Amino acid sequence: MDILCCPVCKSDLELKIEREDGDEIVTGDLFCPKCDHAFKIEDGIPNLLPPDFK
Amino acid sequence: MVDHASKSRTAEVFDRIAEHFDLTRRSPWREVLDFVESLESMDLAADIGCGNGRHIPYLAEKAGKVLAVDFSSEMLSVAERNVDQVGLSGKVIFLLADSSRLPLEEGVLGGFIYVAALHHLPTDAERLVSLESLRRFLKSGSKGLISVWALDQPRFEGLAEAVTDGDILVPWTMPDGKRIDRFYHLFREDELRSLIERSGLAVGKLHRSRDNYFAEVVSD
Repeated sequence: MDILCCPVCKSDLELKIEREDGDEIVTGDLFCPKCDHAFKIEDGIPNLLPPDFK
Repeated sequence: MVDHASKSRTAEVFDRIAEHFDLTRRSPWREVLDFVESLESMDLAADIGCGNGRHIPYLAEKAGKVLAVDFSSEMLSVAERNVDQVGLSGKVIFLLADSSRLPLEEGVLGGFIYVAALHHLPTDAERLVSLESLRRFLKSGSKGLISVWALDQPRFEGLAEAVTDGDILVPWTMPDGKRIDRFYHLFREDELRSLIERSGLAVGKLHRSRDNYFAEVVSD
């Protein structure tokens, strides 16, 4: 996770784990404090598409 | 510019065709394997636009971890299933992301492949930003491989003159005969070279193979 950053502002992200399975984070959030946006982790895959992805 | 050339729309198309894509696109590309074979061992390699993940096992032979990026969540699910089947789940980090706004720290990649994906970004500005960011993500002196579709392919004969800006919708035919248009930007060789040079990456070997241009790039 330390290789990842916010796709919009490049800030460091804060990891919030909801469910883990061994080493894998199955469900959780990667929160950007600057953008005030929580990027979801679902089924072990972080969704770091920008909020305005179109 | 053709209509409907947005990234989210193209991502939706890949969501819809993901399973059929996986059935029909099993084989890795020889040109990619040759490039991967030439790489030194590294901590982290990236597969940008990984699709069904057919090149991931080969990257995994060279890298401690492989970062597999795609903008289609269904394509990533298929790639994850394929990686699972060959027992490599522990080595692969999957990431849903836009290749023109990649969420990575600088200097973390020991190499990357970007196979048949850059040509799905709709504008020159987005393609340029994508390569500029990859230059920063690469460790100094590290290499990447970029492939894109060429403009002058037999399948587009007669179209090349009409499609002056290179933007085109190419239908994917589903098993039931339904056709789903996908956006491509078709490249001329000099355009690809110029794009890479503008990004600040150095162009190594650039060659045509079948209907694709392959460019090896190096970070400064």
